Amino acid sequence: MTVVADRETERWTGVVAIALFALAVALVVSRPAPLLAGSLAVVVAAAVRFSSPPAPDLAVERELSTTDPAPDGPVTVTLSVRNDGNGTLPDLRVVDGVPDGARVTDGSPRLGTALRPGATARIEYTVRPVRGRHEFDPTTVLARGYTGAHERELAVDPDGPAVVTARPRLQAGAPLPLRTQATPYAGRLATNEAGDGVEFHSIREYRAGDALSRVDWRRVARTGEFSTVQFRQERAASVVLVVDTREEAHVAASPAAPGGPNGVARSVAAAGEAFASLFAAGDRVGLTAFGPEDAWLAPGTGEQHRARAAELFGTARAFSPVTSEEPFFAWLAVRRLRRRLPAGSQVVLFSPLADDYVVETARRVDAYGHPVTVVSPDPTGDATTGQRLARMERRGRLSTLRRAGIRAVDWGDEPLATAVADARRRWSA
Amino acid sequence: MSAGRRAATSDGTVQSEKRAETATSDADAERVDTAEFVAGVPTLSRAVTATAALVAAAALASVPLAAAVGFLGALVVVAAVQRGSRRLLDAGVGALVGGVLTAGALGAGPEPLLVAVAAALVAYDAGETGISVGEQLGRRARSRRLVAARAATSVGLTAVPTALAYGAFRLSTGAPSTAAVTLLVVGALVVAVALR
Repeated sequence: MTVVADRETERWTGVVAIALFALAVALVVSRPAPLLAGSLAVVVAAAVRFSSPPAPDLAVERELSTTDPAPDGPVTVTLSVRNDGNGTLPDLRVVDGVPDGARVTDGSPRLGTALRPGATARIEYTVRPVRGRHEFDPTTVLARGYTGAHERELAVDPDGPAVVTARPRLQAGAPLPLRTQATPYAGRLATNEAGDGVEFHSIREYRAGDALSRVDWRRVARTGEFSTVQFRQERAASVVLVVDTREEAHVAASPAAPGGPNGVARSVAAAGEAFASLFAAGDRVGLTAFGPEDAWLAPGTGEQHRARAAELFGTARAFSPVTSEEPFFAWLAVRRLRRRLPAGSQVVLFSPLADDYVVETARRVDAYGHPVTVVSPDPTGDATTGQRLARMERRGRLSTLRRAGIRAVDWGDEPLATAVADARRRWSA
Repeated sequence: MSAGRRAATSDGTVQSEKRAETATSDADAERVDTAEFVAGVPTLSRAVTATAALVAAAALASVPLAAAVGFLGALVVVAAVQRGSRRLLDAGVGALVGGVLTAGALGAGPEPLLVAVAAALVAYDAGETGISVGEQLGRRARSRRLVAARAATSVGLTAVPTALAYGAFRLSTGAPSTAAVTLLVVGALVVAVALR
């Protein structure tokens, strides 16, 4: 409990002037009654003069219904304030430190009360935090004495939990079709290489060391020549999901609905879905942000990897739906991305494609030998001429990508699975 | 390079501005925010203030001119707590006090004057409390206890000196001498200076 400030409210300023004026009137009209009236003002002035800032001794406690809600899920906060001092606190104003990323949807985090010694006041309100980690600020308490001439501001750290982490549940959506570039690990991606597998690929001459079960014995019986059957290899893909989190990607069709998801929020949601489905298919999935805040998870498998990814999606500042204050140097970010991408890995880029630079980046990464697939949530509207122009520009960027041989999923208002299915039809056609 | 990228983005898509506006996520596009902070004087504060101001004006009824001034002041006080304006509150209470002094100058008795001044003080106290609570806590917060406690203390704290002053006035009889008045004035000035 720290005293932030002692203020004089100056609410009784001028009361002495009233007293003197009453005295003057009384003298001029030579009647005692105005003097009597003025005496009250003198009493008030005296009370103010001899009052001092209150020194409350408070025990503040905060309870949260859960510290691990779903994004935008309700958290009920109960804040109780107890007067541990010996004196009555006649005027106590309490404002709880609700985190920036959480909105109060029910009740109020503020309370005005008076507390006798030992008495407790309680408020209950509901917040809905967005995806991410949120820390409550200290509770602000304003205390005034009986005259209200002084106000003491206190910052109290309440007992109890102060951090709420809203982690997204990684739910597998539609499987994301991948480009043909594989890792040395078995998986679902059918390759054109011969080796182990289930689908017939080719026959070659027997070499010493080939498994006997692979020898084509009928051919041996027929001709006496040994030959070995080969199958089409099935490999796991190594995929790095890159989310465009630059300031340019924080775009939405309309500022009128601040609740509407912006490009980054939708990109992160899509990346979460893609991560879950790729992970479920046995692919090695990594995760990174292309933006001012860094986040990196190398491709991997296993439950621990999945948990780490969920943590990153939930709490990394890079994936926060709010813009960052950090400076962003695009060429450094591209270089860092290129250095980090494991050989043979492919990239799925999630970006609203709100500028040309990201298109250039996608093409460059593709040219470096990491096949790129772009999943692009559509942030454009068509209400104004400017919005229609932006829509045309974005379509131009999509065409540029497709001409460069990069697969692109244009994701509008429909579920991601629908958009992927639509795009897939075009790819196979 | 950075400038070039910025120019490239200056299209019609709405660049989401800053933290507060973007700090929301998918599901709440259609939900209306129901618990925003709304500044405003609590209803109980308004009621207490208006009552006290009207009592103060009514106490001056024996002198029509003073009652008129006082009533005007009371109306301004009511408007002040409606709009949450300190300036209006000061003006209204000033008019109430002006009405009291007018009544005193025109020969009203001590009882109505004391009642009127005490009520004006209570009105100011309750009004200022209501306005500050309206700014700091807003209409949505629970503040009845605070407002009630403040009203009770201000009534109590003005009632005691009012009773004392009235008692002293009743006990003192006869016209005061010139010396006594001079001493009284000097004493009052000294007290006023000391309390500034």
